[in-house]
Amino acid sequence: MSNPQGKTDPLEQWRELRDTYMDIWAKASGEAVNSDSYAQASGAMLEAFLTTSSPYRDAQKKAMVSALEQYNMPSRDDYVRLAERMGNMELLLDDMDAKLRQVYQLVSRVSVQTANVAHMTSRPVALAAETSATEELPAASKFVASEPKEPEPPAKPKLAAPPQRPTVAEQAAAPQRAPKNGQATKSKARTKTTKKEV
Amino acid sequence: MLSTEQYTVGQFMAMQEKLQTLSKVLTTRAPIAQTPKEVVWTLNKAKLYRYVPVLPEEQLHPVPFLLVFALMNRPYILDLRPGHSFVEFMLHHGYDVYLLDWGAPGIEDKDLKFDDYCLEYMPRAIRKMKEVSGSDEFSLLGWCIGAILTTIYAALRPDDGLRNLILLTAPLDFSNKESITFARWVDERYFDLDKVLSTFGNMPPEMIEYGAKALKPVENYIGNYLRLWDNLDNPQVIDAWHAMNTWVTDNIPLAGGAFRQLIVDFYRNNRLIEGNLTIRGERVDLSHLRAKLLTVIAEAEHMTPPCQTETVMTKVGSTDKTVMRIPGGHIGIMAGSGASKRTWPQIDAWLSPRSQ
Repeated sequence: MSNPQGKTDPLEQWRELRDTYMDIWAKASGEAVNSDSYAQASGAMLEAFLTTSSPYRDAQKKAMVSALEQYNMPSRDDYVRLAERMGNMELLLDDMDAKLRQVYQLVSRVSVQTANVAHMTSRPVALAAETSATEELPAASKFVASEPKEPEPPAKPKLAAPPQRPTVAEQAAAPQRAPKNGQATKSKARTKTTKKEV
Repeated sequence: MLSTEQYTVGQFMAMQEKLQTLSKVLTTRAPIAQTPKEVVWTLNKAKLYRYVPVLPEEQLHPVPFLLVFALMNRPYILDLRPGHSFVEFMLHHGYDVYLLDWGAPGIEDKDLKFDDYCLEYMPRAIRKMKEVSGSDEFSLLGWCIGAILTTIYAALRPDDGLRNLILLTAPLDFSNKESITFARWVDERYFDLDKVLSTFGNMPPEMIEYGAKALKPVENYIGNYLRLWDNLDNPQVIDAWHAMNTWVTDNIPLAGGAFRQLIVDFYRNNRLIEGNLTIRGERVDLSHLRAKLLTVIAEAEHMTPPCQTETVMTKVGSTDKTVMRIPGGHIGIMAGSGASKRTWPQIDAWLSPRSQ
């Protein structure tokens, strides 16, 4: 760095000198603190501090406890006891939360399976029709209900079988009715979509 | 060319600006831990955070990644500041990242021990993480004391779904007392542990901070501020210094029970490596640790010298184990300016194929 007169910045030289000195000092102090004499000295200082401060600390604690008692106020020890009890309750709650979640997952799985079985047994005709319509579906899709990836709310079992819908094969085989305006186009489009989904 | 008067005025102006920056940096908190996250579990003061993934679900690694930091420092060193955050980096590389924050123990927690942290808190947090992520397996990263906790957990609960374990600057072997400055300081001849804990209950953060800084007194008490002064006109250095200073000065107490265990079982008797450590009646056998293991050693480490970490590799039962040596110090390897080039990509390179 140079000033307007073009001379070298004296601070730069000072910094270099300072850094060199600091390195030497840092090395020496690092060795000093990693010695038994330093450990002994720092231990003695700590010991002196604890010894001299403990009588004041004890007296202060006693005075505070008696003052709080006189004013019918809870002391620090009371709070500590309360906090310990709350800590234990938290542990219990955490375990209960985990167990409840397990129970919920199990119940969800069972209820989905139950609903699925009820659904299948109450609609044998519909089931046969659906099976024939979905024959070409990939195998995994057929078993989604029996092995759900995520728990689902149980489906309500249906009391009566819904009206039968024609399968894709039946639709193709059925004689073509006289179309009204635009109906044929719609039907074709629907068939196309179904094939695409399959 | 500037006149002498203009030069002097310019120098004064620059000096005034520097002083304003200095005042701001020393008296305010930097904006840290900014990555969006949600609390998914709490117990006492501990919290489990899930960081909001930045990639679509189909691009995420299926194995979630849990970070466990030390007990006496805030864990946001892992998410220091936007653009320079390990958490942010891992999120952008497709990890589902969780962070276990132990919180600051109060006087009511003075009896908390490693037993509680390893067998009450960690298994519960992990159970929740598994539930949230939907994965039965997970990866775990432990740093500093967090590495002790994760090692104990991994050895005691090898069948809990832990697939990958990463230990960062892990203080596990305390046999070489000549190289470990802390071991000298807490030697029973000089350090009255019972008196300290009966006086304070928990280990006060000021004493912990002093202990950490006194290892390198010149660098920490003088050199650090000189570096700041020299770079007051460099916003990048100032931002980094400000964030790091915010973290360094934000210490928390260490629960008395855990501190006693750290000193007696580890620093004084080296029970983990010698195979005598018992946690709630269970002996911690490192040969039971079977997870894939990565140990990251900081080459310029002064707090946890490499000798404290190297020996664990021969004790564990893992067949897939790797040692990675990174130039830098205890914190610098993960939060220093070179971390995003030197350390994080290497951790990702090791973990990514093991998280599929």
